[in-house]
Amino acid sequence: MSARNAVVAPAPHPADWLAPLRARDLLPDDAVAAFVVGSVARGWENSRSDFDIYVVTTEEWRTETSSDTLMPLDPPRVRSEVFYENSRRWEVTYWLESQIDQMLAKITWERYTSGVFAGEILSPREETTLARLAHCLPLLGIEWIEAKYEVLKQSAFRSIVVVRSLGFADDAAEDALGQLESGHLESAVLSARRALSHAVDALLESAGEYGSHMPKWRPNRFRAAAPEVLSFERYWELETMRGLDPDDPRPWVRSVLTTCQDIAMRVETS
Amino acid sequence: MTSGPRVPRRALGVRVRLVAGNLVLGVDAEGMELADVAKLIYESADGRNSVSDIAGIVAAEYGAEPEEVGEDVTEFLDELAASGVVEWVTEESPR
Repeated sequence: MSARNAVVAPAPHPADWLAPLRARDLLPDDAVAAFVVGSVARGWENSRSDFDIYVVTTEEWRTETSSDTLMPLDPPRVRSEVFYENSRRWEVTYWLESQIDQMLAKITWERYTSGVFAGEILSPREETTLARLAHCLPLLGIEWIEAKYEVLKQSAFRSIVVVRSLGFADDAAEDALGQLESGHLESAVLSARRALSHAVDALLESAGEYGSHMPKWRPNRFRAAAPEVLSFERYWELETMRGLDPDDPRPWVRSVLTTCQDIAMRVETS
Repeated sequence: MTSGPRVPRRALGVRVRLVAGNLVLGVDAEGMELADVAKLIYESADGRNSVSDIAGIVAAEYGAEPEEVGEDVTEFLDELAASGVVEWVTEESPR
């Protein structure tokens, strides 16, 4: 293997994930849970990956060094701290326990069946946060984490994100067909790609592999879900547009849209 | 009506959902629900199976002879085509 192609193994994880936080006084006494999220929690990290940690507290985190991210919750923000250790960037995000409960309260079956557009029930960050309960590395409060994950599993979360993604796939497919009819072939290709992305996301979400807002991990999520409906090889062939004839993209577009429809026919929605 | 060379295909652009095991086509008040044999016929209309192939699929699934179900399959596919949810890739060949 040449140096250019050499795989750089990520540095080993800390033996005690919470030690760097304690050393910097970043772990409050009222923490009810702490867990590693993101690529590290999935085992997909690389040597440049951040270490992302969620800490759940009962009182709002307040320091002069924290930064705010706006959220559609009460209070309408989460705070985070960033530091570096051994050349790694660590980001610690502080969620109030009540904010987690507010997000879980948005994904009830009553809400899902109330006619609200599924894509508007959660913000992307809320969706990502809840999804991370499914694949996190618990550090503190494992019973709390398991209890919240159980609530998530019993909720309409899966149906909400699946229906949302299928709806987006339909919209993109309709765009692609219209663009084919009007001769806007390049745009039809892009719309078909978008339809494929959403349809595959729906397929993966139906298998509990969430994370549509981070498409860079779609191949990993696909391998983890291993759906019977579509092989990885076929998915990757479409994702990388291998069958596209630039002189006549119409067959490729129709093939992609057919795959999207095949997925929609096989993804159960409640 | 012949059931030989005609090849149906699910029309693209039709919204499809799998709800409690049944297929729902369209998402508005005009939605059509397909269960059991109707669902199987629609699923089998993939642009490769001819009408007679689909009759064979249905017959195999329900323990019948293709000749017994051929007419019903043809009729149903014609209904689906009239509704715009199926289109004909290959129409009847000249006799």
